[in-house]
Amino acid sequence: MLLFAIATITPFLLILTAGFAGGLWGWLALGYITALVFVLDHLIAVQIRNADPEAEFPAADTLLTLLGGLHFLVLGCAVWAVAGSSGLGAVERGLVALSSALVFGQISHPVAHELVHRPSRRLRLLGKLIYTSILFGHHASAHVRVHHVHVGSNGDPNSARWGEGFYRFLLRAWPDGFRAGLKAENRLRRNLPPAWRTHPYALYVGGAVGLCIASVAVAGGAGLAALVFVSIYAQIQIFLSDYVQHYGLRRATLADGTLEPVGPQHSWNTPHWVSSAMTLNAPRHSDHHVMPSRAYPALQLREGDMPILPYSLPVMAVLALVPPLWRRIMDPLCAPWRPDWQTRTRVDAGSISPAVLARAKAGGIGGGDLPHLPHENDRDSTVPSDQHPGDGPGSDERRRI
Amino acid sequence: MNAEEFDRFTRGKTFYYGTNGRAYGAEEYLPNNRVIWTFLDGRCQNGVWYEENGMICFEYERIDERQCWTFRESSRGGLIARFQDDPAELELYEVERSTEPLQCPGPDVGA
Repeated sequence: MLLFAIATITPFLLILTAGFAGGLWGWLALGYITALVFVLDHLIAVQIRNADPEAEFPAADTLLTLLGGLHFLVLGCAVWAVAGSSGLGAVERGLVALSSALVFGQISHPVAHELVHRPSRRLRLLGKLIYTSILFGHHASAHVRVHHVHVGSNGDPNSARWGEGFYRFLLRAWPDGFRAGLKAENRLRRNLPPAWRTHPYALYVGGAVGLCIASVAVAGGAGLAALVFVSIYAQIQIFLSDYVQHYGLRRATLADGTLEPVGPQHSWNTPHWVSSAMTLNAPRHSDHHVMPSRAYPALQLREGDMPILPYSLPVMAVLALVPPLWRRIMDPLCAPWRPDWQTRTRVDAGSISPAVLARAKAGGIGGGDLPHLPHENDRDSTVPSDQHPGDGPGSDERRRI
Repeated sequence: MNAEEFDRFTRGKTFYYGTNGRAYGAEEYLPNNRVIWTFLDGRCQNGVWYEENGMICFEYERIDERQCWTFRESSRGGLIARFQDDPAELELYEVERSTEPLQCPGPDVGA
Protein backbone atom coordinates (compact mmCIF):
# COMPACT_ATOMS: atom_id res chain seq x y z
CA MET A 1 0.00 0.00 0.00
CA LEU A 2 2.88 2.36 0.77
CA LEU A 3 4.22 2.17 -2.78
CA PHE A 4 0.74 2.98 -4.17
CA ALA A 5 0.50 5.98 -1.84
CA ILE A 6 3.96 7.38 -2.62
CA ALA A 7 3.70 6.83 -6.37
CA THR A 8 0.30 8.52 -6.63
CA ILE A 9 0.47 11.34 -4.08
CA THR A 10 3.93 12.66 -5.06
CA PRO A 11 3.01 13.98 -8.53
CA PHE A 12 -0.11 15.73 -7.19
CA LEU A 13 2.07 17.52 -4.61
CA LEU A 14 4.66 18.42 -7.26
CA ILE A 15 1.98 20.06 -9.42
CA LEU A 16 0.54 21.98 -6.46
CA THR A 17 4.02 23.29 -5.68
CA ALA A 18 4.63 24.08 -9.34
CA GLY A 19 1.34 26.00 -9.49
CA PHE A 20 2.29 28.23 -6.56
CA ALA A 21 6.09 28.44 -6.85
CA GLY A 22 6.82 27.82 -10.53
CA GLY A 23 10.53 27.50 -11.25
CA LEU A 24 11.97 24.00 -11.33
CA TRP A 25 8.87 22.39 -9.81
CA GLY A 26 7.02 22.21 -13.12
CA TRP A 27 9.94 20.37 -14.66
CA LEU A 28 10.03 18.00 -11.68
CA ALA A 29 6.30 17.25 -12.05
CA LEU A 30 6.61 16.63 -15.78
CA GLY A 31 9.84 14.68 -15.31
CA TYR A 32 8.27 12.47 -12.66
CA ILE A 33 5.35 11.24 -14.72
CA THR A 34 7.36 10.82 -17.94
CA ALA A 35 11.09 10.18 -17.54
CA LEU A 36 11.32 8.97 -13.94
CA VAL A 37 8.52 6.43 -14.28
CA PHE A 38 9.98 5.20 -17.56
CA VAL A 39 13.49 4.83 -16.17
CA LEU A 40 12.43 3.06 -12.98
CA ASP A 41 10.02 0.78 -14.87
CA HIS A 42 12.52 -0.37 -17.42
CA LEU A 43 15.88 -0.17 -15.65
CA ILE A 44 14.93 -1.81 -12.38
CA ALA A 45 13.25 -5.13 -12.97
CA VAL A 46 11.06 -6.14 -10.07
CA GLN A 47 9.77 -9.67 -9.68
CA ILE A 48 6.00 -9.98 -10.17
CA ARG A 49 4.37 -10.26 -6.77
CA ASN A 50 0.76 -11.10 -6.11
CA ALA A 51 -0.97 -10.22 -2.88
CA ASP A 52 -3.37 -12.72 -1.36
CA PRO A 53 -6.39 -12.33 -3.66
CA GLU A 54 -8.79 -12.77 -0.75
CA ALA A 55 -7.05 -10.35 1.60
CA GLU A 56 -8.82 -7.21 2.78
CA PHE A 57 -7.16 -3.86 2.21
CA PRO A 58 -8.88 -1.38 4.49
CA ALA A 59 -6.43 1.38 3.53
CA ALA A 60 -7.22 0.99 -0.18
CA ASP A 61 -10.46 2.98 -0.04
CA THR A 62 -8.91 5.61 2.25
CA LEU A 63 -6.19 6.25 -0.33
CA LEU A 64 -8.82 6.49 -3.09
CA THR A 65 -10.78 9.09 -1.13
CA LEU A 66 -7.62 11.08 -0.38
CA LEU A 67 -6.56 11.00 -4.04
CA GLY A 68 -10.06 12.02 -5.11
CA GLY A 69 -9.79 15.08 -2.87
CA LEU A 70 -6.31 15.85 -4.21
CA HIS A 71 -7.61 15.61 -7.77
CA PHE A 72 -10.11 18.42 -7.24
CA LEU A 73 -7.55 20.53 -5.38
CA VAL A 74 -5.01 20.12 -8.18
CA LEU A 75 -7.60 20.70 -10.92
CA GLY A 76 -8.60 24.02 -9.36
CA CYS A 77 -4.98 24.96 -8.80
CA ALA A 78 -4.04 24.01 -12.37
CA VAL A 79 -6.76 26.11 -14.02
CA TRP A 80 -5.79 29.08 -11.84
CA ALA A 81 -2.03 28.57 -12.30
CA VAL A 82 -2.25 28.10 -16.07
CA ALA A 83 -4.79 30.82 -16.88
CA GLY A 84 -5.27 32.97 -13.78
CA SER A 85 -3.28 35.57 -11.88
CA SER A 86 -0.67 33.10 -10.65
CA GLY A 87 2.24 35.26 -11.79
CA LEU A 88 3.85 32.30 -13.57
CA GLY A 89 5.78 32.69 -16.81
CA ALA A 90 4.63 31.13 -20.07
CA VAL A 91 6.89 28.09 -19.76
CA GLU A 92 5.86 27.52 -16.15
CA ARG A 93 2.20 27.69 -17.11
CA GLY A 94 2.78 25.24 -19.94
CA LEU A 95 4.51 22.82 -17.59
CA VAL A 96 1.61 22.91 -15.13
CA ALA A 97 -0.87 22.34 -17.98
CA LEU A 98 1.05 19.38 -19.39
CA SER A 99 1.91 17.69 -16.12
CA SER A 100 -1.58 18.08 -14.66
CA ALA A 101 -3.16 16.69 -17.84
CA LEU A 102 -0.79 13.71 -17.65
CA VAL A 103 -1.56 13.16 -13.96
CA PHE A 104 -5.32 13.41 -14.54
CA GLY A 105 -5.10 10.89 -17.38
CA GLN A 106 -2.79 8.46 -15.62
CA ILE A 107 -3.65 8.79 -11.93
CA SER A 108 -7.05 10.48 -11.52
CA HIS A 109 -8.47 8.15 -14.15
CA PRO A 110 -7.41 4.95 -12.34
CA VAL A 111 -8.62 6.47 -9.06
CA ALA A 112 -12.04 7.28 -10.53
CA HIS A 113 -12.10 3.90 -12.23
CA GLU A 114 -11.53 2.08 -8.93
CA LEU A 115 -14.17 4.24 -7.27
CA VAL A 116 -16.92 3.51 -9.81
CA HIS A 117 -16.35 -0.21 -9.17
CA ARG A 118 -16.66 0.05 -5.38
CA PRO A 119 -19.90 -1.12 -3.75
CA SER A 120 -20.32 2.05 -1.69
CA ARG A 121 -22.69 4.59 -3.21
CA ARG A 122 -20.62 7.42 -1.70
CA LEU A 123 -17.39 6.20 -3.29
CA ARG A 124 -19.09 5.59 -6.66
CA LEU A 125 -20.40 9.16 -6.57
CA LEU A 126 -16.86 10.44 -5.98
CA GLY A 127 -15.69 8.45 -9.03
CA LYS A 128 -18.47 9.93 -11.17
CA LEU A 129 -17.54 13.43 -9.97
CA ILE A 130 -13.89 12.93 -10.92
CA TYR A 131 -14.83 11.85 -14.44
CA THR A 132 -17.30 14.73 -14.65
CA SER A 133 -14.56 17.16 -13.65
CA ILE A 134 -12.56 16.26 -16.75
CA LEU A 135 -15.73 16.66 -18.83
CA PHE A 136 -15.99 12.90 -19.27
CA GLY A 137 -18.63 11.86 -16.73
CA HIS A 138 -20.37 9.38 -19.02
CA HIS A 139 -17.32 7.12 -18.83
CA ALA A 140 -18.50 6.11 -15.33
CA SER A 141 -21.65 4.65 -16.90
CA ALA A 142 -20.19 3.40 -20.17
CA HIS A 143 -17.31 1.65 -18.43
CA VAL A 144 -19.39 -0.33 -15.96
CA ARG A 145 -22.53 -0.94 -18.03
CA VAL A 146 -21.09 -1.28 -21.55
CA HIS A 147 -17.34 -1.93 -21.48
CA HIS A 148 -17.40 -4.64 -18.82
CA VAL A 149 -20.45 -6.35 -20.30
CA HIS A 150 -19.43 -6.33 -23.96
CA VAL A 151 -15.62 -6.21 -23.75
CA GLY A 152 -13.87 -8.03 -26.57
CA SER A 153 -16.83 -7.68 -28.92
CA ASN A 154 -18.25 -5.04 -31.25
CA GLY A 155 -20.86 -4.26 -28.59
CA ASP A 156 -18.13 -2.40 -26.66
CA PRO A 157 -16.98 0.81 -28.38
CA ASN A 158 -13.80 0.80 -26.26
CA SER A 159 -12.48 -2.60 -27.36
CA ALA A 160 -10.23 -1.73 -30.31
CA ARG A 161 -10.56 -4.01 -33.27
CA TRP A 162 -7.70 -5.83 -34.88
CA GLY A 163 -6.02 -3.40 -37.30
CA GLU A 164 -7.85 -0.34 -36.02
CA GLY A 165 -5.54 2.68 -35.64
CA PHE A 166 -5.72 4.77 -32.49
CA TYR A 167 -7.05 7.97 -34.10
CA ARG A 168 -9.86 6.16 -35.87
CA PHE A 169 -10.62 4.36 -32.61
CA LEU A 170 -10.72 7.65 -30.68
CA LEU A 171 -13.14 9.34 -33.07
CA ARG A 172 -15.40 6.29 -33.12
CA ALA A 173 -15.29 5.32 -29.44
CA TRP A 174 -15.93 8.80 -27.95
CA PRO A 175 -19.44 9.36 -29.39
CA ASP A 176 -20.30 5.64 -29.39
CA GLY A 177 -19.36 5.32 -25.71
CA PHE A 178 -21.45 8.36 -24.80
CA ARG A 179 -24.50 6.95 -26.59
CA ALA A 180 -24.06 3.36 -25.39
CA GLY A 181 -23.71 4.51 -21.78
CA LEU A 182 -26.82 6.66 -22.10
CA LYS A 183 -28.80 3.81 -23.60
CA ALA A 184 -27.72 1.44 -20.83
CA GLU A 185 -28.68 3.92 -18.10
CA ASN A 186 -32.05 4.57 -19.77
CA ARG A 187 -32.75 0.86 -20.04
CA LEU A 188 -31.85 0.34 -16.39
CA ARG A 189 -34.23 3.13 -15.31
CA ARG A 190 -37.13 2.09 -17.49
CA ASN A 191 -38.43 -0.25 -14.82
CA LEU A 192 -37.43 1.61 -11.69
CA PRO A 193 -39.87 3.58 -9.55
CA PRO A 194 -39.60 7.39 -10.01
CA ALA A 195 -37.70 7.96 -6.75
CA TRP A 196 -34.82 5.81 -8.07
CA ARG A 197 -34.81 7.25 -11.54
CA THR A 198 -32.37 10.15 -11.04
CA HIS A 199 -30.29 10.02 -14.19
CA PRO A 200 -26.49 10.13 -13.85
CA TYR A 201 -26.19 11.84 -17.23
CA ALA A 202 -27.80 14.89 -15.63
CA LEU A 203 -24.83 14.98 -13.26
CA TYR A 204 -22.30 14.37 -16.06
CA VAL A 205 -23.60 17.08 -18.36
CA GLY A 206 -24.77 19.52 -15.70
CA GLY A 207 -21.53 19.14 -13.75
CA ALA A 208 -19.43 19.72 -16.86
CA VAL A 209 -21.36 22.87 -17.75
CA GLY A 210 -21.09 24.11 -14.16
CA LEU A 211 -17.35 23.53 -14.11
CA CYS A 212 -16.89 25.37 -17.40
CA ILE A 213 -18.75 28.35 -15.94
CA ALA A 214 -16.64 28.16 -12.77
CA SER A 215 -13.39 28.17 -14.74
CA VAL A 216 -14.54 31.25 -16.66
CA ALA A 217 -15.28 32.87 -13.31
CA VAL A 218 -11.78 32.01 -12.02
CA ALA A 219 -9.73 32.96 -15.08
CA GLY A 220 -12.02 34.09 -17.90
CA GLY A 221 -11.85 32.59 -21.39
CA ALA A 222 -8.30 31.45 -20.74
CA GLY A 223 -9.54 29.53 -17.70
CA LEU A 224 -12.08 27.71 -19.82
CA ALA A 225 -9.38 26.98 -22.41
CA ALA A 226 -7.12 25.56 -19.69
CA LEU A 227 -9.90 23.31 -18.36
CA VAL A 228 -10.77 22.09 -21.85
CA PHE A 229 -7.12 21.46 -22.68
CA VAL A 230 -6.33 19.36 -19.61
CA SER A 231 -9.66 17.53 -19.96
CA ILE A 232 -9.21 16.60 -23.61
CA TYR A 233 -5.62 15.57 -23.01
CA ALA A 234 -6.71 13.42 -20.05
CA GLN A 235 -9.54 11.90 -22.08
CA ILE A 236 -7.13 10.97 -24.87
CA GLN A 237 -5.06 9.10 -22.30
CA ILE A 238 -8.15 7.23 -21.07
CA PHE A 239 -8.82 6.11 -24.63
CA LEU A 240 -5.15 5.23 -25.03
CA SER A 241 -5.26 2.95 -22.03
CA ASP A 242 -8.46 1.24 -23.21
CA TYR A 243 -6.98 0.94 -26.71
CA VAL A 244 -3.74 -0.56 -25.44
CA GLN A 245 -5.39 -2.88 -22.92
CA HIS A 246 -7.80 -4.57 -25.33
CA TYR A 247 -6.36 -4.08 -28.82
CA GLY A 248 -7.08 -7.00 -31.13
CA LEU A 249 -8.42 -9.33 -28.41
CA ARG A 250 -11.83 -10.80 -29.12
CA ARG A 251 -14.17 -13.19 -27.36
CA ALA A 252 -15.23 -16.25 -29.32
CA THR A 253 -18.84 -16.76 -30.32
CA LEU A 254 -20.20 -20.00 -28.92
CA ALA A 255 -22.40 -22.45 -30.79
CA ASP A 256 -25.57 -20.96 -29.28
CA GLY A 257 -24.61 -17.51 -30.57
CA THR A 258 -23.58 -16.07 -27.22
CA LEU A 259 -20.10 -14.78 -26.42
CA GLU A 260 -17.73 -16.87 -24.36
CA PRO A 261 -17.40 -15.57 -20.78
CA VAL A 262 -14.79 -12.86 -20.19
CA GLY A 263 -11.50 -14.58 -19.40
CA PRO A 264 -7.89 -13.69 -18.69
CA GLN A 265 -7.12 -13.91 -22.42
CA HIS A 266 -9.22 -10.82 -23.22
CA SER A 267 -7.01 -8.04 -21.82
CA TRP A 268 -3.39 -6.96 -22.14
CA ASN A 269 -1.26 -6.64 -19.01
CA THR A 270 2.10 -5.23 -18.04
CA PRO A 271 4.20 -6.17 -15.02
CA HIS A 272 6.12 -2.87 -14.63
CA TRP A 273 6.24 -1.90 -10.99
CA VAL A 274 6.28 1.91 -10.91
CA SER A 275 3.66 2.56 -13.59
CA SER A 276 1.56 -0.17 -11.97
CA ALA A 277 1.82 1.51 -8.57
CA MET A 278 1.09 4.93 -10.05
CA THR A 279 -1.99 3.66 -11.89
CA LEU A 280 -3.26 1.52 -8.98
CA ASN A 281 -2.53 -1.76 -10.74
CA ALA A 282 -4.53 -0.80 -13.83
CA PRO A 283 -2.07 -2.79 -15.98
CA ARG A 284 -3.24 -5.96 -14.18
CA HIS A 285 -6.17 -5.71 -16.47
CA SER A 286 -7.11 -9.35 -17.10
CA ASP A 287 -7.82 -10.00 -13.46
CA HIS A 288 -9.80 -6.77 -13.20
CA HIS A 289 -12.11 -7.92 -16.00
CA VAL A 290 -12.50 -11.40 -14.56
CA MET A 291 -13.14 -10.05 -11.03
CA PRO A 292 -14.34 -6.43 -11.38
CA SER A 293 -15.12 -6.18 -7.68
CA ARG A 294 -11.57 -7.06 -6.58
CA ALA A 295 -9.79 -4.07 -4.99
CA TYR A 296 -6.65 -2.87 -6.78
CA PRO A 297 -4.02 -4.10 -4.26
CA ALA A 298 -5.34 -7.68 -4.64
CA LEU A 299 -5.26 -7.85 -8.46
CA GLN A 300 -3.32 -10.84 -9.74
CA LEU A 301 -0.86 -11.12 -12.61
CA ARG A 302 0.18 -14.38 -14.26
CA GLU A 303 2.18 -15.19 -17.32
CA GLY A 304 0.86 -17.92 -19.54
CA ASP A 305 -2.87 -17.37 -19.67
CA MET A 306 -2.70 -13.55 -19.59
CA PRO A 307 -1.50 -11.60 -22.64
CA ILE A 308 1.53 -9.49 -21.64
CA LEU A 309 2.57 -6.31 -23.47
CA PRO A 310 6.23 -5.90 -24.42
CA TYR A 311 6.69 -2.51 -22.66
CA SER A 312 5.08 -0.58 -19.82
CA LEU A 313 1.61 0.91 -20.23
CA PRO A 314 2.81 4.53 -20.76
CA VAL A 315 5.35 3.40 -23.37
CA MET A 316 2.72 1.34 -25.20
CA ALA A 317 0.41 4.38 -25.16
CA VAL A 318 3.11 6.47 -26.86
CA LEU A 319 3.64 3.73 -29.46
CA ALA A 320 -0.11 3.68 -30.15
CA LEU A 321 0.19 7.29 -31.31
CA VAL A 322 2.12 5.98 -34.35
CA PRO A 323 -0.32 3.47 -35.85
CA PRO A 324 2.04 1.79 -38.39
CA LEU A 325 4.60 1.19 -35.66
CA TRP A 326 1.90 -0.04 -33.29
CA ARG A 327 0.60 -2.56 -35.80
CA ARG A 328 4.08 -3.82 -36.60
CA ILE A 329 4.68 -4.56 -32.93
CA MET A 330 1.23 -5.67 -31.83
CA ASP A 331 -0.36 -7.56 -34.69
CA PRO A 332 2.02 -10.52 -34.44
CA LEU A 333 1.51 -10.56 -30.65
CA CYS A 334 -2.27 -10.60 -31.05
CA ALA A 335 -2.32 -13.50 -33.47
CA PRO A 336 -1.95 -16.37 -30.97
CA TRP A 337 -4.79 -14.99 -28.85
CA ARG A 338 -7.30 -14.83 -31.68
CA PRO A 339 -10.30 -17.05 -30.95
CA ASP A 340 -10.34 -18.22 -34.54
CA TRP A 341 -6.69 -19.22 -34.38
CA GLN A 342 -7.54 -22.83 -33.79
CA THR A 343 -10.35 -22.86 -36.30
CA ARG A 344 -8.48 -21.29 -39.17
CA THR A 345 -7.64 -24.21 -41.36
CA ARG A 346 -7.06 -22.98 -44.83
CA VAL A 347 -3.34 -22.96 -45.48
CA ASP A 348 -2.33 -21.08 -48.57
CA ALA A 349 1.11 -21.20 -50.05
CA GLY A 350 1.79 -17.68 -48.83
CA SER A 351 1.70 -18.73 -45.22
CA ILE A 352 4.46 -21.27 -45.62
CA SER A 353 7.98 -20.06 -46.06
CA PRO A 354 9.51 -20.67 -49.52
CA ALA A 355 12.32 -22.69 -48.01
CA VAL A 356 9.93 -25.13 -46.38
CA LEU A 357 7.88 -25.38 -49.57
CA ALA A 358 10.96 -26.14 -51.60
CA ARG A 359 12.01 -28.88 -49.21
CA ALA A 360 8.50 -30.29 -49.13
CA LYS A 361 8.52 -30.52 -52.93
CA ALA A 362 11.86 -32.27 -52.76
CA GLY A 363 10.21 -34.78 -50.47
CA GLY A 364 12.67 -34.26 -47.65
CA ILE A 365 10.75 -32.80 -44.81
CA GLY A 366 10.57 -33.79 -41.19
CA GLY A 367 7.70 -33.13 -38.83
CA GLY A 368 9.81 -30.81 -36.76
CA ASP A 369 10.34 -28.45 -39.68
CA LEU A 370 6.70 -27.81 -40.33
CA PRO A 371 5.16 -24.76 -38.82
CA HIS A 372 2.44 -25.89 -36.46
CA LEU A 373 -0.83 -25.42 -38.21
CA PRO A 374 -4.18 -26.59 -36.97
CA HIS A 375 -5.73 -29.66 -38.51
CA GLU A 376 -9.04 -29.93 -40.25
CA ASN A 377 -10.08 -32.09 -37.27
CA ASP A 378 -9.58 -29.15 -34.93
CA ARG A 379 -12.25 -27.31 -36.77
CA ASP A 380 -15.06 -26.37 -34.53
CA SER A 381 -17.31 -23.38 -34.61
CA THR A 382 -16.49 -22.63 -31.01
CA VAL A 383 -13.49 -22.30 -28.81
CA PRO A 384 -14.32 -23.55 -25.32
CA SER A 385 -13.78 -20.83 -22.77
CA ASP A 386 -11.23 -22.86 -20.88
CA GLN A 387 -9.15 -23.42 -23.96
CA HIS A 388 -7.00 -20.73 -25.48
CA PRO A 389 -3.67 -20.50 -27.19
CA GLY A 390 -1.87 -20.01 -23.90
CA ASP A 391 -2.16 -23.59 -22.82
CA GLY A 392 -2.44 -27.05 -24.19
CA PRO A 393 -0.07 -28.86 -26.48
CA GLY A 394 1.43 -26.94 -29.33
CA SER A 395 1.02 -23.55 -27.71
CA ASP A 396 4.74 -22.89 -27.65
CA GLU A 397 5.07 -23.37 -31.35
CA ARG A 398 2.15 -21.10 -32.04
CA ARG A 399 3.40 -18.49 -29.64
CA ARG A 400 6.67 -18.15 -31.53
CA ILE A 401 5.02 -17.25 -34.83
CA MET B 1 -30.44 -16.42 -13.10
CA ASN B 2 -30.44 -13.37 -15.30
CA ALA B 3 -32.74 -10.40 -14.72
CA GLU B 4 -35.72 -11.85 -16.58
CA GLU B 5 -35.48 -15.24 -14.87
CA PHE B 6 -35.03 -13.65 -11.48
CA ASP B 7 -38.02 -11.38 -12.01
CA ARG B 8 -40.22 -14.25 -13.19
CA PHE B 9 -39.17 -16.37 -10.21
CA THR B 10 -39.66 -13.77 -7.49
CA ARG B 11 -42.17 -11.12 -8.55
CA GLY B 12 -45.19 -10.76 -6.32
CA LYS B 13 -43.74 -13.07 -3.68
CA THR B 14 -42.02 -12.76 -0.36
CA PHE B 15 -38.98 -14.96 0.28
CA TYR B 16 -37.65 -15.78 3.75
CA TYR B 17 -33.94 -16.58 3.79
CA GLY B 18 -31.72 -18.53 6.12
CA THR B 19 -28.02 -19.22 6.39
CA ASN B 20 -26.26 -21.91 8.41
CA GLY B 21 -29.53 -23.03 9.94
CA ARG B 22 -30.53 -19.57 11.18
CA ALA B 23 -33.10 -17.11 9.88
CA TYR B 24 -31.38 -14.24 8.08
CA GLY B 25 -34.00 -11.97 6.58
CA ALA B 26 -36.87 -11.65 4.17
CA GLU B 27 -37.55 -9.78 0.99
CA GLU B 28 -40.70 -8.92 -0.84
CA TYR B 29 -40.37 -8.58 -4.61
CA LEU B 30 -42.59 -6.02 -6.29
CA PRO B 31 -43.11 -4.93 -9.89
CA ASN B 32 -40.68 -2.44 -11.46
CA ASN B 33 -37.64 -4.04 -9.79
CA ARG B 34 -38.71 -2.74 -6.38
CA VAL B 35 -38.03 -4.70 -3.22
CA ILE B 36 -38.64 -4.40 0.50
CA TRP B 37 -36.00 -5.95 2.75
CA THR B 38 -36.07 -6.77 6.44
CA PHE B 39 -33.66 -8.46 8.84
CA LEU B 40 -36.84 -9.72 10.54
CA ASP B 41 -36.51 -7.13 13.31
CA GLY B 42 -39.72 -5.36 12.38
CA ARG B 43 -37.89 -2.72 10.35
CA CYS B 44 -38.10 -2.67 6.57
CA GLN B 45 -36.43 -0.66 3.89
CA ASN B 46 -37.17 0.01 0.26
CA GLY B 47 -34.74 -0.87 -2.48
CA VAL B 48 -34.36 -1.65 -6.14
CA TRP B 49 -32.47 -4.29 -8.07
CA TYR B 50 -30.78 -4.42 -11.47
CA GLU B 51 -28.52 -6.80 -13.33
CA GLU B 52 -24.82 -6.00 -13.53
CA ASN B 53 -21.92 -8.21 -14.58
CA GLY B 54 -24.17 -11.25 -14.51
CA MET B 55 -25.22 -10.60 -10.92
CA ILE B 56 -28.39 -9.16 -9.44
CA CYS B 57 -27.44 -6.02 -7.53
CA PHE B 58 -29.57 -4.41 -4.84
CA GLU B 59 -29.50 -0.87 -3.55
CA TYR B 60 -31.40 0.17 -0.45
CA GLU B 61 -32.45 3.52 0.96
CA ARG B 62 -30.40 3.35 4.12
CA ILE B 63 -27.50 1.11 3.13
CA ASP B 64 -24.53 2.79 1.45
CA GLU B 65 -23.08 -0.45 0.08
CA ARG B 66 -24.61 -2.00 -2.96
CA GLN B 67 -25.17 -5.76 -2.61
CA CYS B 68 -24.63 -8.01 -5.62
CA TRP B 69 -25.69 -11.66 -5.56
CA THR B 70 -25.93 -14.58 -7.93
CA PHE B 71 -29.20 -16.47 -7.72
CA ARG B 72 -29.86 -20.04 -8.71
CA GLU B 73 -32.58 -22.58 -8.25
CA SER B 74 -31.67 -25.59 -6.12
CA SER B 75 -32.47 -29.13 -7.23
CA ARG B 76 -35.56 -29.01 -5.01
CA GLY B 77 -36.79 -25.76 -6.50
CA GLY B 78 -35.65 -23.42 -3.73
CA LEU B 79 -33.87 -20.14 -4.34
CA ILE B 80 -30.18 -19.89 -3.40
CA ALA B 81 -28.29 -16.61 -3.32
CA ARG B 82 -24.53 -16.27 -3.10
CA PHE B 83 -22.94 -12.93 -2.22
CA GLN B 84 -20.70 -11.54 -4.99
CA ASP B 85 -20.71 -14.97 -6.65
CA ASP B 86 -17.81 -15.76 -4.28
CA PRO B 87 -17.64 -19.31 -2.85
CA ALA B 88 -16.02 -17.91 0.30
CA GLU B 89 -18.88 -15.49 0.89
CA LEU B 90 -22.28 -15.70 2.50
CA GLU B 91 -24.83 -18.07 0.98
CA LEU B 92 -28.53 -17.65 1.66
CA TYR B 93 -31.18 -20.22 0.93
CA GLU B 94 -34.91 -19.97 0.78
CA VAL B 95 -36.68 -21.32 3.84
CA GLU B 96 -40.17 -20.10 3.04
CA ARG B 97 -42.05 -18.54 0.17
CA SER B 98 -45.24 -16.59 0.57
CA THR B 99 -47.57 -14.40 -1.42
CA GLU B 100 -48.35 -12.32 1.68
CA PRO B 101 -46.68 -8.90 1.86
CA LEU B 102 -44.04 -8.29 4.53
CA GLN B 103 -45.15 -7.03 7.92
CA CYS B 104 -43.15 -3.98 8.90
CA PRO B 105 -44.47 -2.74 12.25
CA GLY B 106 -41.21 -0.97 13.20
CA PRO B 107 -38.60 -1.92 15.80
CA ASP B 108 -40.56 -1.03 18.92
CA VAL B 109 -43.85 -2.72 18.22
CA GLY B 110 -44.41 -5.82 20.29
CA ALA B 111 -41.18 -5.35 22.22
